[in-house]
Amino acid sequence: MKTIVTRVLAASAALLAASCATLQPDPRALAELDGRLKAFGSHEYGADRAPQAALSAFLTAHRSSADRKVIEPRLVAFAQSASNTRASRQHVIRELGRVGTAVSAPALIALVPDAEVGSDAAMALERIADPAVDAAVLEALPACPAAARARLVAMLGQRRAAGAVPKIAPCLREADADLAATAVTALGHLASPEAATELIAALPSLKGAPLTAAWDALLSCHAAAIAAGDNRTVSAVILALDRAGAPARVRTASTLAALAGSSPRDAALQAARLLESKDPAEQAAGAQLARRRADDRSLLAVIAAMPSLPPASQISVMGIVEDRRLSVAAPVIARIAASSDPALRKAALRTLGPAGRADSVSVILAAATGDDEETRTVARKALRLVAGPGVDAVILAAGKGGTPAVRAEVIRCLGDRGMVEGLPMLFAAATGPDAALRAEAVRQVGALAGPREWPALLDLLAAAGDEERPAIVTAAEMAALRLPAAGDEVAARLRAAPAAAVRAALLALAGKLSLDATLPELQKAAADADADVRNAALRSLGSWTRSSALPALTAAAANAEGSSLRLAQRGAIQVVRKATDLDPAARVARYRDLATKIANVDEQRALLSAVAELASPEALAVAAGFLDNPAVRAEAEAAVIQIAKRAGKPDAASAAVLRRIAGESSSPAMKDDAAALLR
Amino acid sequence: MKTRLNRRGFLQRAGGAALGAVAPMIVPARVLGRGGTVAPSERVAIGCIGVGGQGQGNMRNFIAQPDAQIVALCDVERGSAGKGLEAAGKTAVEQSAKVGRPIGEGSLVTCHDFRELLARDDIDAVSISTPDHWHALISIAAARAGKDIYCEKPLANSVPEGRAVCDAVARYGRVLQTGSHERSNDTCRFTWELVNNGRIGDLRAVEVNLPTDQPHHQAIRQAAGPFAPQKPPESLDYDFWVGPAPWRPFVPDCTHFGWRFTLDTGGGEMTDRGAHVLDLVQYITNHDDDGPVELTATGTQAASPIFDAFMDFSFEYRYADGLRVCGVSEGDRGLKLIGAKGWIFIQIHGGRLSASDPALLRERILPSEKHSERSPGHHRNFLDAVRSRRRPVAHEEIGHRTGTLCHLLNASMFLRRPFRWDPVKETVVGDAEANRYLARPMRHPWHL
Repeated sequence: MKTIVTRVLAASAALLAASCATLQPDPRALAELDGRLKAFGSHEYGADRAPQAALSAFLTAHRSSADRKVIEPRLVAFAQSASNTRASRQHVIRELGRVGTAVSAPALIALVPDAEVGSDAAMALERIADPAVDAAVLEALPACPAAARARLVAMLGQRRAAGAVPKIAPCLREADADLAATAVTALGHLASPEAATELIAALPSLKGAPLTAAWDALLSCHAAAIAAGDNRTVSAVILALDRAGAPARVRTASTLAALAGSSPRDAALQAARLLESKDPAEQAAGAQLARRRADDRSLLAVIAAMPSLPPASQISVMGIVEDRRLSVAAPVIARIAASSDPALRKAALRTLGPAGRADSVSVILAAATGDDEETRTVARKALRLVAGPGVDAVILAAGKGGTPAVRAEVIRCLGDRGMVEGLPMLFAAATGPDAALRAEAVRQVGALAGPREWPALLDLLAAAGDEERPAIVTAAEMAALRLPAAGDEVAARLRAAPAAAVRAALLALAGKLSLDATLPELQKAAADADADVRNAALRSLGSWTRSSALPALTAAAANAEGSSLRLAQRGAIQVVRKATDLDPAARVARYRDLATKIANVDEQRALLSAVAELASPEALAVAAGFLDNPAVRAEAEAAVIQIAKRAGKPDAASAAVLRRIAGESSSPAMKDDAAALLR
Repeated sequence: MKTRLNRRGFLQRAGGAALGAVAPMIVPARVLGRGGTVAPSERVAIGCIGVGGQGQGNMRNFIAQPDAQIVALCDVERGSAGKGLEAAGKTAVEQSAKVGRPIGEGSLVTCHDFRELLARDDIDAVSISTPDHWHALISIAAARAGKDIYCEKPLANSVPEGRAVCDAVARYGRVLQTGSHERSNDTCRFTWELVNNGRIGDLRAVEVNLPTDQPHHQAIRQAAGPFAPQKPPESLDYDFWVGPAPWRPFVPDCTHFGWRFTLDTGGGEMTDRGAHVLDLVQYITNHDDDGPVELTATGTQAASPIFDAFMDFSFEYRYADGLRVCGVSEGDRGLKLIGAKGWIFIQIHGGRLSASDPALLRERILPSEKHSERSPGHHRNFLDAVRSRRRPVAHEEIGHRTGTLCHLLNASMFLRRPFRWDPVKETVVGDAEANRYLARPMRHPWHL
């Protein structure tokens, strides 16, 4: 009953919200609102939230000052009434924080000591952006019960309330550590010279949490004084931090803040001094200063000093160089890349990627061919990234005249770098004496070859040994993705009737590319007297991605036997399954045709597996056609069930098949599935 | 104002000789193990704060890094039904042993108050995986304590909190990584390169899908209650768990995991997965250092007695450069970048790509073109940043800007109106109530 009542009330509230553009001057709307609030007073946590949501929506809808002027006192009265539940008062108080004005301040202040809703009242006060709230809180603070004073002090700090320092300062000396710490934090938020003075005076007496809070509070005062040009307060804070033995991180933070307004040049100089330190904290501060304040020009001084800096500082500076791609630093970085310190070496090589130049290439290549695996990895990555005038030319020159190891690294990077001018070198390496280099060169040819290189790539295929031909086919496949007319050349090569092994490789390539220009040759090859050629053609046709391959496969199946017949039939099934130009009805028609021709059990199973992916009564009928074949009965039942699950409510013919399975299957699971599909 | 500093003054201020007597705040190379043994000097000692599901996931990711060592765990849930400190402690010991960096018997520190963990000198960095409403306070406390920070997304539960985190990190020179790990996917960084090197032409629009159709979303929608408040279990310090959020009684369903869908402690799907997807929008469209200037969102809150997050929604926002982003709570989770010459879709999670032309995904970015640095993995990237002091790929400003976007969209839905946003001043233009709504005061004694 209560749920029904609340739902009705919620619905009415929603209607009220929707219908009333303004409450003024409609007494009926006001009366309804009063009714809603009265009912909401019994709202509990975990109960239907609709009345709460409706109230919020109502307040959102009635935003005018006139409306809020009428609503606010009602909300205040609601919040004050202890006869309302905690849950409901909490929500209304929160909404006062959203929609209330200074009018609500006295009531909210009075609620702050409340054990149940005091926190909510303080949070609401914090939100009401009106200086009159600050004044009201300041006035009430001295007389406030102890339990509430900390909340109000915190609130004043969050609000940066003007004139709050004299009222908050006495709290610094309270025995209540929570109040003292809250006062410290609040003064930090206020961050005025007066706040700084009070904090500094209280420092010697602070311990524990208040002292910990004081460090950051003083840093806030310090930052505010810097921004205001208040040198006296800046100096006073720094002195106080020193005398009080503030932790190093606090003093470093104050140093950095002091330098925040310095010129990039000054910042770089100070950064360099900090980076020279053996103290990790100072090093980190120097790195931060350099990164955030030094411009590229002023950073040069830091870069020049790098070799004399501690390793951690060098790594930090190199990070800045890398992020800013400062190639002017490349010579210095290159020297560091020869360091015996592995961390420095790797950091330098990494930096030479984005920040390197042509004269960095030799250093990178040397590292890429070195003994250390991790160094080689970093150097290879750098080789792929280094850019700028003359870089490509230097890399090519190194590839032509370098050691085998260097040549290998050059070859390895050419594809990623998009260096098509390296193709002659790659083709030469692809036929060279080194097998590993040949393989890598072939791979890179695949990444780079264009229309002009396509014939040469096919020549490579023809000239290669049997073991290397598959890799060249892969490379050709990669290249052909960029070459719309690739099929014409492949067809021409096939017509030229090359040696059987080459022919087979060309046929495999044709299959991977599914280029219709090669279909006539594939069809011819599918009837070739040589079994290897024939089967290679059938495999290729079987991987076709369009139905254009089906006539060749069908013709081959009609005339083939043995392994060729099976390849042709299986190929036809795969083409029908994957062809991108067949709709489901066309697929079913072709499966139906294939079903009449396939006698081998393995191919029948393949056919059933393919037809099971469809979802029509016609497909189900094709699968059902195999139920009388004991060798594939189980697969046929499974296919029927799969199709039926997808197809939805079975028609009469499909239902008959399912009934047959439900009645006759030797598998209990199939029987159950079929029966379930009939229900 | 320029502060005039001579070298002497500088050294005095920097603490000069006094610094030698104070323990350094950054310990890249000096971590002592327990029991009198000296731990390998290069490991970053990590304390994990919040060790529920996601927290243990982060813990495992750090354990997998060869130069990290978990030395402390903190959670307000001591342990019950496989959760909390007890379960996490076992996992930490087992996994650390598996990777050859065992935690000595009795070495793993456990506590329930994060301040205790932060006070330890033997911790270099913290991994924060608490509910959202704690992210900012703990991150700020960690920065003040001299720790580097890995903090789950969203970086904070409100706009002012996020800015306070950024200020604290800058003040104390810390490294912070937001847990927006999709940023570290190679595919996402490749997409940045494709888009920013013109492969899809001028970027025209972005479409975002944030579906709410998973089983847990349905459970939230169907959580009809009523839910009677209960006494919290003995193992859970519930008042501490509530922390800075407005107090409410304990209801188990909106504590562990469910807190995401209560707006006091989380931001619903908008911050749960939205913080990942919208973060990628910010990144790929080069708006990491600003935000939208106009936005509007409409949505329906969960009708449950205890969950009030927005479950069905649509939104649209515009950046100052004119780029429009629109989103819906359906479809395959991810973002579609639509250019004049094509589009690319990134699916989240995992970053699987699809494109108007599959050839786009085989494009090569040449050295002379714009590159986005590859991340070796989000946790690895954080550790590298701790060592090098570089900013990680999802540093605090990035996390704050993305979080801000999520909070703005939630606010637009709650207040049922569009906003104009000033991303420099970080205020809603001409709408004081919206700014009030975005400011989220904290329950005493927890304050920024």
